[in-house]
Amino acid sequence: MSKDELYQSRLKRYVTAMRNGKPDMIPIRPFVAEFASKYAGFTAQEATHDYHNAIIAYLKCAQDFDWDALPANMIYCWTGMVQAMGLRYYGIPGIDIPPDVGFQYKEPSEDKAFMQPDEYDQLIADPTGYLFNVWFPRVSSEVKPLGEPVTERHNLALLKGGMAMMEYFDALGGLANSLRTECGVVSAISGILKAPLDILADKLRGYYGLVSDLHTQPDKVLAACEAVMPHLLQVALDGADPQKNVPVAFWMHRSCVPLITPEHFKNIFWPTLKPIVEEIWKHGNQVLFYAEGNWDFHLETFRELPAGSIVYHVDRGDIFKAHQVLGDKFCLSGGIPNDLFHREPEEVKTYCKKVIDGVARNGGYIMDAGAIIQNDARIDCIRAMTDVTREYGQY
Amino acid sequence: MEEKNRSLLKRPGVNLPWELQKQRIPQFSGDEKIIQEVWEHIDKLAWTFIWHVLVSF
Repeated sequence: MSKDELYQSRLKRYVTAMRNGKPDMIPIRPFVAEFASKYAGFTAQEATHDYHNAIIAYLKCAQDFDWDALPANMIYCWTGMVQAMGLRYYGIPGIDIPPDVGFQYKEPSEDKAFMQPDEYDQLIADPTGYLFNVWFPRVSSEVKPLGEPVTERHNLALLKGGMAMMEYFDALGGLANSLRTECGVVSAISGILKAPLDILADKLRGYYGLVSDLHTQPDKVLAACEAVMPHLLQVALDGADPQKNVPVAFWMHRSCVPLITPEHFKNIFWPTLKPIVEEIWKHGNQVLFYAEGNWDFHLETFRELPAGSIVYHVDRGDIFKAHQVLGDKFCLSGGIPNDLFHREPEEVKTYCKKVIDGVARNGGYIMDAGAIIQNDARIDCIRAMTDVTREYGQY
Repeated sequence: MEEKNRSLLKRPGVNLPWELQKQRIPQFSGDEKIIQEVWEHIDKLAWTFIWHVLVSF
């Protein structure tokens, strides 16, 4: 089989499953991150600080494992670039943390949050202006706020950040093409989405600040979410697959019960997210709900979305329950606990078969771990997940 | 148009609206449309940068 024929067969398999159909066999789409760098013999530092090493690692994985789809670089943070911009919220392997630990996010203390509680009106009035003029100078050690003297480091940080980002995005496009032409593997996702409420928590107010605001000024929180909605939609659409094959990746963070209340989910999180997902679907693109953690409390709410509009990924939630509630409308993926990859391959195989029997017999399922696969996963366990899916996952 | 009304034009993809930039150009000796289109294209690159710093990095 030629590489193109291999690619087309894998694409058909992957897309059929995502449309909740039954392909020839269960697709395998592991979200490997630092597992790839370990497999290729790189430290986390080597693959994260120099993306060229990550590209080598991904292509080696794609050549050696019989996987249908891969995200083009889940070691997604090029720490060389964020260091050049002086971003304060990263723990960089080889600088802040040991070289064999994947990059980390650092949240400041509540009093030093990157957005202060009395700045909602500024954000609401002009989200982009707020980001450039207030937020970026706070999160960068190099960029100066408005009114302060411009420095050489300020100029260089802006220029380097922009040029490096363009280089990186171009390289990721090249990786997606190489996955296809050299390995016959599909680039699994295209485009990015995060929920307005998650963005406020992750990068602006911090989790504690946002939770406090939900109780002290919920109207402002809602208005801020509404103000950023069109921008987040545009970011998602700009990166979406023009062929409408692979989904936009929606990374779901801390806006689920019990991290927020059911009322805040119902009145703020969902009304400012659902229209975005529906609009992306109107453009013909699915959204991958990568539900990190446990979102089981909200499964019935997700049923409100149009059939086929999302692929629902399970991390610590109950995949069997997700299948019961959502399986008639949406394809599922994941549900294989990552701690299994510390154990013996036979345990991995046994659990994968259980999931296949429970949720995949009528199609509409993609094999993957629950969470991003990092360098703590045993190689033989990942191989076991792959092999058992090929043996046991034929239709 | 005053700078303070700039925020009214700050839709997704826009930093320095064309309507504002145009005020700095006394007259066009050639095709105004091509200048507007390219201005807006490059302006959007900066919008893309900051929103990806927020969302992706």
